[in-house]
Amino acid sequence: MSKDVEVRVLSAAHFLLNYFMWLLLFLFFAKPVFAQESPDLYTQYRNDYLYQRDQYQQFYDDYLNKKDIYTKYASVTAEKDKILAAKNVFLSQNIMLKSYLMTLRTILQESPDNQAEIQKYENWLSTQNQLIPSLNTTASVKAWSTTFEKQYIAIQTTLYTGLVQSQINRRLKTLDEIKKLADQAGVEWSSSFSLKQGEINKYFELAIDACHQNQRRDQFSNFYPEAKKYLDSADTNMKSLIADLKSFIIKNNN
Amino acid sequence: MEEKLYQNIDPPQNNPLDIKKPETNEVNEETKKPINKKYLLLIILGSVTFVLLLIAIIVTQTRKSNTSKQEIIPTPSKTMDNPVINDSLIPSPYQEAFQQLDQSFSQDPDLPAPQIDIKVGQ
Repeated sequence: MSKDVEVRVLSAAHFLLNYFMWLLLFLFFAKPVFAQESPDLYTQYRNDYLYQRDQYQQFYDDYLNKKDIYTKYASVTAEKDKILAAKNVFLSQNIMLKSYLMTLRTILQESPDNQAEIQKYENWLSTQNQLIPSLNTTASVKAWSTTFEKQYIAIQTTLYTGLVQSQINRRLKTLDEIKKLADQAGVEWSSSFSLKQGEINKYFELAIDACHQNQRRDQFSNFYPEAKKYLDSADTNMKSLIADLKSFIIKNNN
Repeated sequence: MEEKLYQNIDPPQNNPLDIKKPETNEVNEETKKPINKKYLLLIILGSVTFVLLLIAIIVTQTRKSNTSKQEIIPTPSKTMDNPVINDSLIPSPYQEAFQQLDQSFSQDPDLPAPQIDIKVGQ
C-alpha cells in the first residue's frame, strides 16, 4: 500500500517537474513583448482614443443641453444635473487625454525623456479622475475646472512636443536608411550629402526649439504649425538627398 | 550872361590836330603775333581730351539708362525642386529600398490632437 502511495507521489512529482521544465523552456524561448514595441498596440490605443473622443463629444453635448436648461430655469434640480453633466465631461476628457497620451507614448520608443514626461501627465489625469466624483457644488466644479485649465497648458506642450519628436524620430530613421542604402550601393557619403544632412539636422533642431518656446501662464501658444513647417523643410531636403542618391546609383550602374 | 569856360574846350577826339592811331590797329597788331606752337598743341590736346571726356560721360549715362530699363534677373539660387527621376532606371536590387524610402514620407502618425472645451464648469 505504502509503495503504491510512494509511486504515485513520485509520478506526480515527476509530472510536475516535467511540467515546470517545459514551462520554463517555453518562457525562455518566448520573445518578451514590450508594450511600446508593438505596432499593433499603436493601432489598438489609437482606436481606443478615437472611441473615447466620441464619448467625450456625447458628454459634452449633454453638458451644453443641461447648461441651457439651468440658464432657463435656474432650479436646484437643473443645477444638480448641470454639475453631474460637467463631472461626466471632466471624467471623459481625462480618459480621452490619457488614451491620447498612451497612444503617443507607443511611438516614442527612442525618446525616453518624452515618454517619462507623458507618463507624468497620464498619472496626473488618473489622480484627477479619482477626485472628480467628490465635486458636488458649482463652486468646487468651477475650482477644478480652473485648475485643469492651467495644467492643460503644460499637457498640451508635452503632447505637441511628443508629436513633433515622434515625427523627428521617423525622419531620423529614414535618414539612416538613406545612409545604409548609399553604403550598400558603394556610394561615398560625399561632402554634398554631408551638407544636406547638416541642413536636415538643423531643421530638426529648429523644430525642437519651437517646442521649447515659453508659454503664457493663461493661454497655450500652439507651436506645432511652426515646428511642422521646419519638418516639411527637412522633408524637402531628404527628398533631394534621395534623388541625388538615385542619380548616383543610376550613373554608377551605366 | 556869363560864358562858361568848358564850352570852348574841344574834346580830344574832335580835335583834328590830335591825331592818334586808331585802337583797332593796335589790336590787329597784337593778334597778328604768331601763337607759340607749344600753346597751340596744348590747346588742341586739351580740346580733344575735353571732347573725349564729354563722349565718355554721354556713353556712360546712356549705358546706365539702358541697364536700368532691363528686367532685374534674380541671382541664380539653388532650387529645392527635386529632379524627376524615372524609377525604372534604378537597378532592380535598389528599387524596393527606394520605394520604401519614398513611402516613409507619408508615415507620420495620423493622430489628431484632442480638442477640449476648457471652460466647462466655469
